[in-house]
Amino acid sequence: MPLILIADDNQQICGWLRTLLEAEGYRVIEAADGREAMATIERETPDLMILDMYLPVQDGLETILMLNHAQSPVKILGISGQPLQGYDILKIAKAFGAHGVLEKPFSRELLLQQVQQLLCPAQQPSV
Amino acid sequence: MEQQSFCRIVLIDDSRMVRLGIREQLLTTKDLRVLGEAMSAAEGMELVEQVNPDLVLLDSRLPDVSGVEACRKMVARDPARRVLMLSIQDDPAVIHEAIAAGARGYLLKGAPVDTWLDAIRRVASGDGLYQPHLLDTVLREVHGMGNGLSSKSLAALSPQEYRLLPLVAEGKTNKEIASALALSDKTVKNYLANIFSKLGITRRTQAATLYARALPSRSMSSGHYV
Repeated sequence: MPLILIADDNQQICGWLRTLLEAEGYRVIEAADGREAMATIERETPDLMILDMYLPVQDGLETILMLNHAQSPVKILGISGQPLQGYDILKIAKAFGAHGVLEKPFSRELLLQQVQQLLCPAQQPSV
Repeated sequence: MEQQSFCRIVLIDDSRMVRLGIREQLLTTKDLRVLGEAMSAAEGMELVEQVNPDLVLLDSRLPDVSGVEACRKMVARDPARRVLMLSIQDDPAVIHEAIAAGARGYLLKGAPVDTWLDAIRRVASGDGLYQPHLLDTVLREVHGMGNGLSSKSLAALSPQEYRLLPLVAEGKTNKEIASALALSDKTVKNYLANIFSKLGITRRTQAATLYARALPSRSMSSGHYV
C-alpha cells in the first residue's frame, strides 16, 4: 500500500486526514513541521507528502525546494487555507514544484481524487 | 496532408535582434516553430487571440505594459494559456510577480541554448519551469518579507492605510479598492504610496506577501471540511 506523509502542525487536520486516508487503505505517517518532514522522508521514503504551506520551523515552500535539490521522488500535494489573489501561496507552491495543490477547506472526494491522481495507478489501494 | 507535429509559438519582445536570434535558433529544431511575432504587449495579445499558440514567449519588459501585466491579462482570458517569461533580470520580486501572474516559467535570456530549448519544450508540454537558483531567490524574498514585517512596522500604518492592505493582498486594482472603501482613485494612490514608503517596499506583490505572511498561521491553515 502507498505510504503517505502528512506534514501539518494542526493536529485536528492531521487526524482527519489520517482517518480518511487509512479508511481507503493507505498507510499514513505524520510530521509537525518541514524539518521533521524531511527527516521522515529520509527515513521512510513515502510515496506522497500532503504538505501544509504554513508550517513552523521550516515552511512548505522551503521544504519543496529542499526536496527538489535532493531530487526526491516523493510526490507533493500542497495544501493551504485562504490563498490571497495578490499572494497565492498555492500558485507559488506549484511554481516551486508541488505536483498538486488543494485549497482548504476541501472535500473528502477532492482530496482522494488528487491523491489517486498523484500516485501511480499501480499503487492505488484495492477496493 | 502531413499532420502538424510541432509546437506553435508566439514571440513577444520589442528587440528585433532578440526575436531574430530566437527564431533562427528555433529553426534549427524540428519540433518548435515561431508562428508570429510582436513587439508590444497590445500587439502580442491580439496575435495570441488570433492564432492560439501552444506557447507564448514573453519579454518581461515591453514598451506599452510590463510583460507581467500582459501575462496576467492573457492568463485571465485563458487560464490554460502557457506563458514562458523571458528576462535579463533575476530580480526575485519580478519573478514572484510572474508566478502570481500565472507564467508557467521564467527564463533568463543569458541562459545556454540547451536550457532555452529544454524550457520551451517543458512549458509547451504543460510542465512548469523555474530555474532552481531563481526559486531560491524568490524564497529568500518571501521569507524576508515575512520576517521584515513586525507589529512595529504595521503600527506605523494609519488605520486608513491599514484598511487597504487586505484588499491589495486580494489582488484588487486601485479602482476596485476605491470602490470598496468609497474613496477616490487618487486617495487610494496616495495611501498606497504612504504604505509602500512606510513598509520600505516598491511593489503590490510585496505588500500582499507582507500582509499574507503577517497573518497568524492558524488563520491561514485552518479550515472547515466537508
